[in-house]
Amino acid sequence: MTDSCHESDTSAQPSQPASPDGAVVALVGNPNTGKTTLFNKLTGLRAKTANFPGITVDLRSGRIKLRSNFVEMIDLPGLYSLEAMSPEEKVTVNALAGSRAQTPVPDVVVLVLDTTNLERNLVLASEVLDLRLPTIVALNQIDAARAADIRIDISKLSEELNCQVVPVSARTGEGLEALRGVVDDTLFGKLPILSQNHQSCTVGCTGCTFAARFDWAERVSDANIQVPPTQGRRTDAIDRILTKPIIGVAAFLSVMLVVFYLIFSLASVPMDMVDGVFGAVGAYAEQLVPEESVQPGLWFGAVFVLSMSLFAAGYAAAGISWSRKSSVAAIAIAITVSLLPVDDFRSLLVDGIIGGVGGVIIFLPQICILFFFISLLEDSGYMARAAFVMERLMQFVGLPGKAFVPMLSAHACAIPGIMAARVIENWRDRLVTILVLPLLTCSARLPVYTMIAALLFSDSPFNAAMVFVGAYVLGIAAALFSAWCLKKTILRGKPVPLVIELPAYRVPSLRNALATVIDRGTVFVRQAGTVILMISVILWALATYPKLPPANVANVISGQSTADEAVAQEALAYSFAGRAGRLVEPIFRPLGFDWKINVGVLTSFAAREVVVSTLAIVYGIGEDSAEDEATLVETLRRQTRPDGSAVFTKATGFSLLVFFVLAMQCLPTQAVTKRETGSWKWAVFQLVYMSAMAYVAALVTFQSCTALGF
Amino acid sequence: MSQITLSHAGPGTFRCIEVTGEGEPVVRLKRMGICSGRQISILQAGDPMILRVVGARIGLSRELAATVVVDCHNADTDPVSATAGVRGEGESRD
Ligand SMILES: Nc1nc2c(ncn2[C@@H]2O[C@H](COP(=O)(O)OP(=O)(O)OP(=O)(O)O)[C@@H](O)[C@H]2O)c(=O)[nH]1
Ligand SMILES: [Mg+2]
Repeated sequence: MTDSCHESDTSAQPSQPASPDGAVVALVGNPNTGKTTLFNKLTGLRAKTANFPGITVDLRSGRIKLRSNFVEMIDLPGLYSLEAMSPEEKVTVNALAGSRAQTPVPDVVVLVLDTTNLERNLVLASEVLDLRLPTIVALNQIDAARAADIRIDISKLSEELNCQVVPVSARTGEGLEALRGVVDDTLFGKLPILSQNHQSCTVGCTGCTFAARFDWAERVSDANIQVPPTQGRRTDAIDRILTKPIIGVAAFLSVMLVVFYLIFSLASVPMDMVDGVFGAVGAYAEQLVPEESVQPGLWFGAVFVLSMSLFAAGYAAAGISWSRKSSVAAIAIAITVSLLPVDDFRSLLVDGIIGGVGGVIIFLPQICILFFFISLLEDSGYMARAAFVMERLMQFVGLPGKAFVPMLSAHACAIPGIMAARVIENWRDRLVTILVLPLLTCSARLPVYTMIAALLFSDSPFNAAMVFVGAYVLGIAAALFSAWCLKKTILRGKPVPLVIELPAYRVPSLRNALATVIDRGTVFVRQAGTVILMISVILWALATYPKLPPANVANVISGQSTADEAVAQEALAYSFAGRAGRLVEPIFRPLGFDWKINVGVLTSFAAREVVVSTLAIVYGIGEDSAEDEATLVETLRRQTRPDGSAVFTKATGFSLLVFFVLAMQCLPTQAVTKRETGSWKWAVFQLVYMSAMAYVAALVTFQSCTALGF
Repeated sequence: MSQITLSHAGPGTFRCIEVTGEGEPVVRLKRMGICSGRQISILQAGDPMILRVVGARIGLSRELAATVVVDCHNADTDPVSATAGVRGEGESRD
């Protein structure tokens, strides 16, 4: 390293020369220049990207292949200057200085510049070049620059910056081989490391410390790059409409309405298909299981092998290794299942496994479509405009406009939403946003809403759609109201005034959207195949055992005409799940829930979509699914209370809906809240205030609906 | 040389003279190019407003725009809003 003449930057010097293995290549650049896109292309990983400054919030590492060996590549949050202001920018500055645990000073810095916005990017470039680390400049988005007719003199720029300059496009893959080659050469000493000698601001700068860098950037950019005067006209033209105070808000609402309309209209066909497949599989499985045990040895062996292979698949999907504990658990459960009486086994297979998992998988199409559109929207550049037009509205509840961006993402899933809350500079505002984000309707609520909407208004698609609109609006209103309350009480303070870069609009990358869909779809299916499967089986056991003693069966039969159903009801009530549901009956009765719904509500605190599986199991047991391929909703609608009235009246339906809109029922979200706020205190607070609000709101809903005679 | 704050300027192009005030938000402004010597164009006035600085669009709240002092003698400047700005300087209304 050429460190002999620069004493000033001792902290930034690598402690040892670049070694072939364990070499680290860091991607550094302004926000939104395409670092993560480049990282994904080079490493084959799939970190989140979007056309919004500040998407990457933490260091991420992967391996890239150079000519002959692999080296480590790290993707870093974007920053405007090494004078870091936010925790994310500090991550990058610390990584460059080698002051992060486990991250040595990078051996090569790849400075990712946005060619369509070069002058601005050169400011950070001058700071990074001053660190005197071996640096390569990647002129990214060269495809977009070419399309905009921007001309650059690459060799002159390279001379001026005194380092290698490689034009690349992370989107099309152009120039990536050349980049790999230059990284390889720089790492393994085939290229001389040039000394830097450009403008910096160490002495004699008064006023703005950045002024000298900006002057330098302007000069370098003027000398080496020609930007046509029409640059940015299209974005300006779109912005003239989308950023206007009233038209902007109206445009935003229409965009969201169209997206949600598409989600429901496009998803109905694939959902019916999934429903049909699971119905058929259930019916087939029911026939397949023999009426009575054929040959005990053979039966035991077959079921044991089946159970063990299910465990193998589940463990592989959940990433659980076959340790002693996990193996013992798997074998013990497989043996238990193999020893079950045939009738019980059939019920486990049909009601527990197929019914439970199928009840959730059916929502895969909606979730994929939701993520697809949110990804397109994020990639278009619209999100920064949403923050911009919402700035004034958000000020009413005491939050900055930027809080709107995580709120939009949270409509897919609260977890990325909570991560995205890092765009909010002020800690207090960030905390308030995190606390209210889970109130927004995430994709896991879709199954619940769909079920309830169908229960309430299966005859009227318009009313069913209005149930959805109402639920979304309720979620948003509750989030804004809670934010306002928090900002008025325990987390007072003025929001930080807005400064945000509005990136140029881009045609969203379809490939990126599809990749997001595949990622999120896989996560959802994996969740259904592991956690939800496990909960379903446990629930089935809790809802089946202990069994109703034969004496009670006789009692029930003698007193009733619809004998089978009555026995099933009685058996469920006698089981563990039934007892738990009854135990909490006094608490939930004012909300209009019967004890079976209570079982669903109790299990849904692990993950809210489980309520659908639970109801499928609780109500499915004792139903003859082979006869009529009854959908869950039809089954639910048939249910009656002991006095003969229907369980799911309008009042109960609305109350259940309100409860699920507002309740905090997602353990992974709680874990992320804890991580992002640094303490369980806030996660617990979130759980308590949301659940209390859900209870009170559902109570008011049920009581007023009943009073009005629904 | 007459000076106005950005919050009082209408659409047009100005040269930034200084950013008054201190603290985090001000450093943020400077890093984005709203800093002495740079050209600032107002694309859309209002609260928040849209500027073009160093080749990029920046959304900026009026509260922060009030800390930015610009030179109002500029060929591009809309004279009506510029004079209105001079008069209005120091007042909270526009
Ligand atoms: N046309 C074009 N678009 C690109 C290219 N590289 C990235 N993009 C787009 O630029 C946007 C930003 O990409 P990201 O990879 O998220 O940017 P980043 O530098 O990681 O941003 P931060 O994490 O916010 O600092 C996305 O919309 C990408 O699709 C490119 O080479 N050409
Ligand atoms: Mg990134």
